[in-house]
Amino acid sequence: MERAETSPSLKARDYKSGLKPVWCPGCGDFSVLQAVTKALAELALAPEDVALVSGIGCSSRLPAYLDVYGFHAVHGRALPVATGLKISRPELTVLAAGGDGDGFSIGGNHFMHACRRNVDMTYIVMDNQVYGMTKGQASPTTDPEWDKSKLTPDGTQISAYYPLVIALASGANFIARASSSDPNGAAKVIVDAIRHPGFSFVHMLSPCVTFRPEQRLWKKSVHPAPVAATKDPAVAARRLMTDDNFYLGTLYEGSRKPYQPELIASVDLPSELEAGFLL
Amino acid sequence: MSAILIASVEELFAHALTMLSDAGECYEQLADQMEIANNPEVSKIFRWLAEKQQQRTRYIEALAGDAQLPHISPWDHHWEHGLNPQAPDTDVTHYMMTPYHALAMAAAAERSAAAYFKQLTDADAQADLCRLAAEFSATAADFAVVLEQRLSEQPAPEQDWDKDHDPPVVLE
Repeated sequence: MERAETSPSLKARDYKSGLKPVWCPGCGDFSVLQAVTKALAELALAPEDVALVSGIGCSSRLPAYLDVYGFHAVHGRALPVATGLKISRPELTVLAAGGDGDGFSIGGNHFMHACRRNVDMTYIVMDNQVYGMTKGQASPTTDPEWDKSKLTPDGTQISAYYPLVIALASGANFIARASSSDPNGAAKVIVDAIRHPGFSFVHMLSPCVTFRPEQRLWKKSVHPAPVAATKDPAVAARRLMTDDNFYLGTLYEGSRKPYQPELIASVDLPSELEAGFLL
Repeated sequence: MSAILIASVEELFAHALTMLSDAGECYEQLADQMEIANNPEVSKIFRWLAEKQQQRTRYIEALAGDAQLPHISPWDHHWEHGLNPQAPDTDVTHYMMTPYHALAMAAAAERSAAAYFKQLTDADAQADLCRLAAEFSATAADFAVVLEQRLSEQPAPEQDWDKDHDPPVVLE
C-alpha cells in the first residue's frame, strides 16, 4: 500500500474493501462493519495508518472487508499479535476484533493481560453469546439456561462470563458497550475508544440471527446508560453491579499511562525482546 | 422527534444527502447479502433500490450546488433515536425473504422519510427551508406510492415463508 502524500477526505465507504461479506443476512456484524468505517472516516485516518487484527470466527472476518492493513490471526490470538504490532509500530492506529468465543474463551487469558498491559489500542468484541461459525455451541457469555445446543441440552449450568467486570478488574483504560442496532452510536463509541490512550475495550452486542434468532429483539432491550462515563474505577465497579447487560455508552475512562517500551534497533536473542514485555 | 432543530437549508441538504447515501449503501449491502445467499430475485430489487437512492443523491448534490454544507458527525444528526429515517429497517432481513418483504421494507422507509421532512414544513422555519423540505417529503412520498404499487402486484408471503427444509442446525 502506498502512503498518501496528503490525507484526503475519505467517506466511510472508502474504507471498505471490494470483498462482499459472507455473514448471514441480518447478522449484526454488518452494522459493526458500518460503524467501524464511519469511525475511521470521522477520525480522517489514512487507511495505510490503520491495522486491524482479528482472531477466528464469523466476526473475525472483519479485516477482509476493510481497506486497511489486516491480519487474520489464529484462534484467540488477535491481542498478542496486535500488541506486538503496536509496540513495534507505535505510529499506527491498531484495532483488534473478534467474537466472544475467540476473545473470552480461547483468548481469555490474553484479554486479561492486554487489559493489564494497557497498550494503546482498541479491542472490539462482537458478542452474540454463541459460537456461530462452528454451528451454534454455547460460548463463555451464553446464559446458563440456554439449551438449544445438543452439546448442552440442559444449558451450560455455569455462570456467564462478564466481560466488562473482567476488563475493569484487569486494568483496561477505557470500557464501553455499543450495539449493532445503532451503528451511528457504535461509531461514536469506537471513535472515543480510539482517541482514548491505552487499552480500550468495546463490548459490542451483535446478534446471531441464525443460531440465536431471539437476539433480534436486543434492539428493543438496549438503552443508553443513565449516567456519564466515570474516571473512578470504584464508581465504575459499583455501576456494574446494577448493569443489566443492555446499557450502552462509555462506562469508564481511566488515566493509566499506556505501556510503550522504547524501540530498540535490533536484538540478538529473542530473550532480549521478551525482556521488554516483563511486567 | 428532534428534526425541528435543523436551522438552515445547508443543514437540511446535509441531512438529506446522508439519509439517501446511507440508505443507498444499505440497499447495496442487502443486495450483496441476497446474492451471497442465492436469492437473486430479491437481490435484484435491492440493487434497483440502491440505484434509485444514488440517483436521488446525485439530484440533491446538484441542487445543493456550491453551497457549503456543514460536516455533521454520524451520531449528531437530528433524527429520532439516532436512526436514519430513510434507512430500511433490516429486522426482517432473512436469506429466504421474498420480493414482498423487500418492497415492504423500502416502502416503510420512504414513508418514514416523507414524515420526517414533512414535520419540517410544519415547523416555524425559514420559507426556503420549508419549501425544500416539502419537496423532499413529496419525493419520498411519491416513491413510497411507486413501491406500494409494486408491492400490491406481489403475492403475500406464505405463513411459513422462512421455513427451511434444510436448516442450519446446531452441531450434534
